[in-house]
Amino acid sequence: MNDRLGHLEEMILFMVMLVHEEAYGITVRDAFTEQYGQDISLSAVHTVLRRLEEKGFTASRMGGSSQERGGRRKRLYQVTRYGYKMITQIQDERTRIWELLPKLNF
Amino acid sequence: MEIRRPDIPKWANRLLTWFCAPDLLEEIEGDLYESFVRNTRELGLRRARRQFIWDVLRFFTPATIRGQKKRKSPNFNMDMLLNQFRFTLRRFAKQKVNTGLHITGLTIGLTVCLLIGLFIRHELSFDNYHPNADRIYRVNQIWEESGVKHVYYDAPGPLAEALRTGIPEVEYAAMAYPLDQRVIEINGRQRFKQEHILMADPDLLNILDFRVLQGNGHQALGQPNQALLTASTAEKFFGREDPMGKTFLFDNAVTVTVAGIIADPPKNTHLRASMLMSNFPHERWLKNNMGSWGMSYGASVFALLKPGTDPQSLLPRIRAMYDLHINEGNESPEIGYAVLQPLSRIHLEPDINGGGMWQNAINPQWLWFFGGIGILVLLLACINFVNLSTAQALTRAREVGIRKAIGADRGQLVVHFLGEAFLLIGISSALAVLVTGLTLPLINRLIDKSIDMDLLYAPGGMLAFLAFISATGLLTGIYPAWLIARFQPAAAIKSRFSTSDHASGFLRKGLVITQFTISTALLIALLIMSRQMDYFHHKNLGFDKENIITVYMPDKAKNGVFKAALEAIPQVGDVAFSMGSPASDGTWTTNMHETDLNDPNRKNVRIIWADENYARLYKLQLLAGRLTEDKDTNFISQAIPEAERSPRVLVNEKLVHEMGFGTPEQALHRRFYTGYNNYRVEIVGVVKDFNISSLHTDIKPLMMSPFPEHETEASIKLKPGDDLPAALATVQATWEKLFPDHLYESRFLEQAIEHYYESESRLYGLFKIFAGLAILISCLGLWGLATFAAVQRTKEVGIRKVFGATTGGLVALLSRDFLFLVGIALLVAAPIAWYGMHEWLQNFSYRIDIHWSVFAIAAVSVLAIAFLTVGFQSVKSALANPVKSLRNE
Repeated sequence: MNDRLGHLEEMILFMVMLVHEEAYGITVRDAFTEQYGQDISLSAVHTVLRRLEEKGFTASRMGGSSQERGGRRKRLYQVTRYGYKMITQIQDERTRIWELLPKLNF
Repeated sequence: MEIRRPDIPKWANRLLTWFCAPDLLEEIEGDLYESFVRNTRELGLRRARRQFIWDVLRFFTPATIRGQKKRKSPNFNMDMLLNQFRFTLRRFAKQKVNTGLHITGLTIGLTVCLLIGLFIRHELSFDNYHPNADRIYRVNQIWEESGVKHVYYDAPGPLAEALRTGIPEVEYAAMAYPLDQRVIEINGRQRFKQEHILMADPDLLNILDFRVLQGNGHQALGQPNQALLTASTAEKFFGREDPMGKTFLFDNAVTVTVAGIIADPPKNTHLRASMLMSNFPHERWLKNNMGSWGMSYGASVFALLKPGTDPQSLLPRIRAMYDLHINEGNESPEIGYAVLQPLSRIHLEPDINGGGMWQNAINPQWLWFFGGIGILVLLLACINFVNLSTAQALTRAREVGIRKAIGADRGQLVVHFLGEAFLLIGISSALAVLVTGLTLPLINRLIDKSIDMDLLYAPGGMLAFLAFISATGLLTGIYPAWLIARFQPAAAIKSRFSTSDHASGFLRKGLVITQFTISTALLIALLIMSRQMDYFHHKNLGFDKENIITVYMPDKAKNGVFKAALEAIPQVGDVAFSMGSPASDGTWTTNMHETDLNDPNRKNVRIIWADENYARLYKLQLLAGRLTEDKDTNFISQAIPEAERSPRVLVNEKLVHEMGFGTPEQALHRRFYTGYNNYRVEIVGVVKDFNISSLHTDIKPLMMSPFPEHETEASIKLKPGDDLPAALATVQATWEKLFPDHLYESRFLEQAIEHYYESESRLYGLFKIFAGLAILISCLGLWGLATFAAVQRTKEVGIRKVFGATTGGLVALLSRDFLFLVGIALLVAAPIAWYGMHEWLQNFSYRIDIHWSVFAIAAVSVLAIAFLTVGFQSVKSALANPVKSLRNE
């Protein structure tokens, strides 16, 4: 199983961490649109969220239902310790390589 | 804002439902609805509908269609759980008999376990409550001679002081002298016997946890004739008046002042004092000898060691004290030394003189024994549960099929059925706690203990109980749950099942055999124990014990007057004076040897000082020579030089044998030295052996001779007749007229003998109850199985009946299988029980042989019980009208 983090996956994982307690399809999509300024389909968000869970970067549980959801419960996601470690690593690596780059003047 | 269903494009939603994987549907639909609601608000209905359709189409991806493989289906759903719970309750209500059997069996099993658990915890908790219990020791004294050790719980007076000053690791050392009953007189009018008076050094308050509520305990115990009463004793003595500074007359001799109040000690201590008195005995002999190293009179020494001290490291130094003060300059081959017994072990080591004066220690073997019984009884209850559940499994096949068809997976079903088991066990546990609470007072009375339910409610107790029932639930429930959940849905719904599942049927048979093996073994044990107990009570002890009472004589000088007065009473047959009846343990022990008392081969001998009537009254059987006469006591006469004083004695066969004097006739007029004043005694008569103590111990060499100085007890033989109570009253009146200052107390000899076996009889009574319950549980299980089998075979029985089978034949058919299993159990149980009981009987010097009839009785009763259990149901089915059973489709 590929346990690397794809670009979209990385972006969504950031959003899961950002929204924190209430991360499910809608809130993650809203955060994504707000933070990155680009649209994404609900379907894509769902697919990525599931893939992140399959890879063990997030964990999920079923949350409460509400009237405006027609009584359907939402699936709430949370970053796992492993996911957090992964994303910290990526961040560190990027910073390290940035430091190595010659300072270019544009 | 509420979602309005009609606004949502129906076809799109249906499309989603069609292609979306079921496990994802809920969350996706929810998100889509939520998004739709917001879009409607922000963008208007038209655009929201368009967006909804678009979103649905975007979901048409392989990932959505496939669904999540790895994720577990969401099990936790309150509604589903509630539904299952309701379903379970409905099933319980429908199958009342079955549920009742489960709950009854488990409740009995758990109650027995709970009672036994409390009993064991109570016994183990003795003296553990003292804050420094792990550093407190009792100094036990050992006298050793040619490898034979005698352990005593009392120690010489000066030892406490010597430990305090001589061994730096000893923080405190103090004497505690438990008294027997003493007469108390308050205000010159109220007189009664008070039990559990403890004479104590002041430092005892620093060692044991006696909480002083009022007054200065230390100061009081340091001065003569001061007392600290427990709260309840103070109330008994003085009612509601303030007890401080009040006085009472102790032992008809000294006036004692109340100097303080202490809290009542808890029930689980071997020193459950009713009062502490300063350690200044008034008896002259005691006063004179308290300071002597050679004198132990019943007082124990307790020591509190400094933290981190190894008690073993003290022993050589204590031994040195004994060597210095006792062993050196002592020509006798006997050697004294001491060991340290941890405080909490006192209640569990009955070898050491029964633990103490007030509280009998318990043999830990009893605790193991009852622990084992508890586990066995619970095991029987669990077997019932497994057997009935697996037998009933088939009836639930359809339920399982439907549950599986609508999507339950196996794990879920196992959890569901395990949950049912836990629910049953939960109900049974609650009932068991209730029943335990109700029966505990009865059990306490039966075994003469004061076990408290609080032991269960204490945090540790509750936790242990919960852990215990959880383990029970898991062990019991897991196999039936797994078995039931295994059914294939298609087969289960079609109900194409063979009437007996082979594997579980085999297991069931094995479990029934196990159950009846245990029950039968317990029954055999019960029968053998009861025969041994009967033997204790009815064995001919070698002396007459009927209608004999013993009365304490406060003043030996009045023996003659008392006797003369008694002989005037027509119901009195005979009167004898002695230092103790044959069953009183009131004997002295000393050494004897034919020529030299310091010879290492010297033997022990018991002495009973008794007048000339004694042997006649107790109907001792004379084998040779003559009985002793009162004039044989010429050895006290000062006119004779000490070396020539030679008491004439009556001895038992055992003594003749141990001294190697040959036959009783040959032993006559032989002489030997005794440790009592080094007197050289002469044998004038030999009597047949009789038991002077309990049947736990062997007969010891014994000599008897008159010695008025020590004849402090009257044995009175009453003539049998209806006027016994009147005779007793007359004897009491006579006695009270002679001794107005004392309290009369008489005992029937037979009661005194019973007393030897009391604790055993009580524990045996407890075992009897538990064994009975074990058999009951087994029968409940058998009955349940038989009922079930009969229902299963209703049609078969109907057809057989139509073809002319007789009722008898049908009953045999239905009962045969079960009785066969019980028969096997009998064969397995007999040797196990024989071996176990054979070992148990080795504990007794006087024991019965295991007779074959025990096994016969056990076999017949178990078979009869089993047949009644099974047969009832079988007869019922066999008598049923075949028309009914066959028509009923």
